[in-house]
Amino acid sequence: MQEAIFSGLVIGSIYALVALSFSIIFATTNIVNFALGEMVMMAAMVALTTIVTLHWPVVSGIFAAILVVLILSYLLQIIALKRLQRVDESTAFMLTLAAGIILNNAALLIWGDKPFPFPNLLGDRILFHVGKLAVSQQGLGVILAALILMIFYDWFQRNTLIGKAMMATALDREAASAVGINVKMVHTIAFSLSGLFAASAAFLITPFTFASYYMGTDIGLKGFAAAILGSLSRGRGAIIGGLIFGLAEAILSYLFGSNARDPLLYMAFILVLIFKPTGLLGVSKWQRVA
Amino acid sequence: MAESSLKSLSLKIIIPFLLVLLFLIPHFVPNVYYLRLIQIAFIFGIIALGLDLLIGHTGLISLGHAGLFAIGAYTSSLLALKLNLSFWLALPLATLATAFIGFLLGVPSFRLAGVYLAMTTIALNIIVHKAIILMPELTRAAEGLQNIPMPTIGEFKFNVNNYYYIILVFLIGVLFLLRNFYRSSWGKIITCIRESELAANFMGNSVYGYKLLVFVISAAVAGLAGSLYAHLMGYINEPSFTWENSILMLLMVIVGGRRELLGPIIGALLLTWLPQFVQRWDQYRHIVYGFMIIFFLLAAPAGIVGELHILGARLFLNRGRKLTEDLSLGEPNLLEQTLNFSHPPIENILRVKGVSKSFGGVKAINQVDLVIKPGTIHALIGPNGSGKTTLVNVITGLYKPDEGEVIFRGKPIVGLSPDKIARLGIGRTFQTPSVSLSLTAAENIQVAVHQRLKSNLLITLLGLPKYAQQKQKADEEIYYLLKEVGLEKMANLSIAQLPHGYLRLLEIARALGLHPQLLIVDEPAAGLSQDEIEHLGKVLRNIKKRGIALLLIEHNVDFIMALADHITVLDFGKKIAEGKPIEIQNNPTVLEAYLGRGRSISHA
Repeated sequence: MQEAIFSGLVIGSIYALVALSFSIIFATTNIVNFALGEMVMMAAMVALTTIVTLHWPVVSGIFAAILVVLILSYLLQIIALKRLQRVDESTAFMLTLAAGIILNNAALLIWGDKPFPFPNLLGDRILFHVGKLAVSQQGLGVILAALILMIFYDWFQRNTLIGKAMMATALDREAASAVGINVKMVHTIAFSLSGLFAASAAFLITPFTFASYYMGTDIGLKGFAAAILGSLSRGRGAIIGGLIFGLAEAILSYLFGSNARDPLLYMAFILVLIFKPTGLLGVSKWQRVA
Repeated sequence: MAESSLKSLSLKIIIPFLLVLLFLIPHFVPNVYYLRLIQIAFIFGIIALGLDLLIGHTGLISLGHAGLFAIGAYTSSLLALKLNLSFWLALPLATLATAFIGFLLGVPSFRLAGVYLAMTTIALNIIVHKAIILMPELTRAAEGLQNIPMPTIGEFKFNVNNYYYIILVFLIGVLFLLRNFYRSSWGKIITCIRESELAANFMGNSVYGYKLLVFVISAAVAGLAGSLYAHLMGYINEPSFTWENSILMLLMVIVGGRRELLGPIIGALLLTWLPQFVQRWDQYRHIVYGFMIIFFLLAAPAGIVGELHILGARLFLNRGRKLTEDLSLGEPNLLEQTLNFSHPPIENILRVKGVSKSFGGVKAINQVDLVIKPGTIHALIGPNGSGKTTLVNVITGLYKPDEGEVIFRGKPIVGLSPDKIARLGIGRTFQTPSVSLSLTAAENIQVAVHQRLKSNLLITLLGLPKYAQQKQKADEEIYYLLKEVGLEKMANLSIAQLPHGYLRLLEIARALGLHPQLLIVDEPAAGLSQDEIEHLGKVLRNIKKRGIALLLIEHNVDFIMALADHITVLDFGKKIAEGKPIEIQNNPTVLEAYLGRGRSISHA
C-alpha cells in the first residue's frame, strides 16, 4: 500500500503538471487544448531521438524538445484561436482534437509503434526507506521537480505583471483588453507556458513508462479528467485534481489489478462529478451577462 | 419565388425519385459484400444523424458515441442470444437501455461548461470498451459474439439482402423524426441554447433539461444503430467500439455538414466507402482524417451538403436581392385586444428587501430596497458600475444574493433558477442584444412562447395533425407580439439582416412572449437613433397600458424623465435616492453622484 501511495504521488505529480497545462490555456482562452497529451508525447520522442539516437548532450536534447513543443503550440494557437472571435469554443476544441490526431499518427509513421526506453535523467539510487518502501532518487526527483515547477507557476501568476495580466484576461477578456492588456500576447504566453509544462511532464514520466507514440493519448485524457476533477479554470485546483487522480489510479491498480484500473478510475471520475458537479474543490467561474 | 418553386420541385419529384432509387438498390447491387457495406454506411448514417443533433444543433461534443453504439449492439445481441428474445423486442430494449445510460451520463455532464461532455463521454467509451474486454464470459472479448440472429417474421427469415429494407425504414424514420424536431419550437430552443444559452434560459427554458433531453435522444439513436449493426453482421467484437471510432463518427458529421438534414448521411456514406478504395494507403488514414477535420472546420464549415447549398443559393437564388431596404417600423398596435395579459390585481408586483451581493470583497449592491407597482414604469438609474445590472441579475435569478429577499407577487423567488423565475412572469432584455443570429425574428420569439404553447414531444416528433393546429396558434400569437413592437413585417427575416435598433425591439417582443407581469428592459435606448427612441417610447408606454410593470434601466436622461413614473438611483451599490422624476431631477445627492460636487444638471 505504501508503494502504491508513493507511486500514486509520482504519477499524480505528472497528471498535476498536465492538468495545470490544460487549465492555463482554458483559463485564459476558454478553450480546451485536446492536443496537449500529444505535446507531451512529441517532447518525449524528440528528446529521445536527440539524446539517445543522435547522442546530443542531455541539455541540448531537452532544449530541442522544448523548442519543438513551443513551435507546435504556437501553430496550434494560430489554427485554433485565430478565428475564435467568430468560431465557437466547440469548434476550437475539435480543431485541437484534429491536431492531436495528426501528431499522434505522424509520430507513429516517424518512430513506429514500439516503445523505447528513455534515459533516467534523475539517477536511480535508493535514497532511503520508509517501512518497506524504497524511496528512489528518481521517484522523489519527479515529485520535487513537479512541485518546483508548480510553485514557480503559482508565484509567476500572482507576482509578475504578465501573470496578473493572464488572471485579468481569464476573468474578463474584453475588460482586460480595454485596460490595455495585449490579449493576443497573453494567449501566446499561456500556450507557451502550457507547452513548457507539458514538455517537463514528458521528461519526468518517460523514464518510468518508456517513450512511445501512444503515450500521449492516455496522459492527455487523464490530465484533462484530473483538471475537470480539480478545477479547469484555477491552477491550484487542477494541481490538486492531478494528485488525487494519480493517487486514485495507483490505489485502484493495487487493489484490483492494472487491467481493471482505467475503467474503475473513469467510473469513479463520473461518480464524483454526479455528486460534486463543479469538481472536488471547484469554484465555478463567474458568469457574466452582457 | 424561385426558392419555393425549387422546394415544391424537390417535394414532388426529387424525393419520390430518391425513395424509389433507394428501394431498388438491392436489385442493382447483387454483390453481398457491397450490399452489406451500403447497410453499414446507412447504420453509421443513423448514428451520425443522432450525433448531429448534439454537435451541430446543440453545440455539444460527444466523443463517446462508439461506446453508446456498443451498448446498443451488445444489449441487443445478448438479449437475442442468451434470452432468445426476438429482434423486434431486443431492438427497442437495446434502444431504451442505451437511452438510460445516456441519461445517467448526462446528469453530471451538463451542470457546467460544455467541454465536460467531451470528457465524460470519452470516459464512458473507455469504460464500455474495457468492460467488453474484461468480461469475456459474457462478451467473448476479442473473439466476439457470434451467430447473432437475423430477424424473423413468423416463418419468414430475413437475410443480408432484405435486411436492407429494415435499415432503410429506420434510417428514413429517424430522419423524419429529427426533421420534425428541428422545424418545431423545440428545434429553435436548442439553436438558441447553442448560440445564446443565457437568452434561452431567461426565456423560461431549462437549458440543463434540454441538453439532457437532446443527449438522451442522441444516445437512443446510437443504441438503435448498434442493435441494427449487431444483427446485420451476425458477429461483433471489441475493436469496433474504441473511442477512436467515436472520432470517426464526429468526422462524418463535420464532413457531411452540420445542421444539414442529409449531411450526416452523406458523411457516413463517404467515410464508410472511401477507405475501401484506398486500402493501400491505410497507414495515412488517420492523418488524413485529422486534416479533413481541420480543413472542413476552417474552410468549409457547412460541410459538403451545406457548402453545396450555399453554392446553389449563390448561383440560382438571391441574385442582387436587397434585404433591408423595404423595412420600416410600423405603428405600435395601440391596445388592440389580441394580446391578453390578464392577471389578478395585486398591490406590489415586486419587492426587493435589503438585497446585497458582493464579488470577491467588492460590494456590487449593498442593502438595496425596491418596490415596483403594477402598471408603472420604474426607472433604475445610476453611474456605470453602480450595480444596476447586478440587481437585475439578482432579481432574474442569475445571481443568488448574499442577503435579502426578492418577493414577486407575494412569493419569495430567491434561489429559483432563471427559467423558473421567467415562467413565473418576469421577462427581461439584455444590454447587448442576445438573440440567435441563425433564427428569424419569429423563430427567436418561439423560444419564449415555447414553454406555454409547445406541442408535446411525441406530437412534435411524429408531426401529428394536432401539431399543425398548435403551431398555427403559436404563430398567430407571435405575429401579434411582433406587431406590438412594430416588427410584424420582419417576421421571417433572419436576424443577421435586421439593423441593430430593431434587435432591441425584438428582444422586447420576445420577453413579452413570456406573458410577463414585470418586464425588465436593460438600456433599450443605447445606440438607437432619435426616431427609434421615439418609437421605443411608444412601445413601452403601450406595454404599460396593458398593465405590465416595467423596470427600465437607462442612461438617456430625457428618455427617462419623459417615461418614468418612479425613479430609483443607485451609486456604488447603494440606493441614494428615490421618487418622482421631478424630485430626482433636483436632488442634490443625485447631481453630485452624476456630475461631481457643485454642478447642476443644466451644465450636462
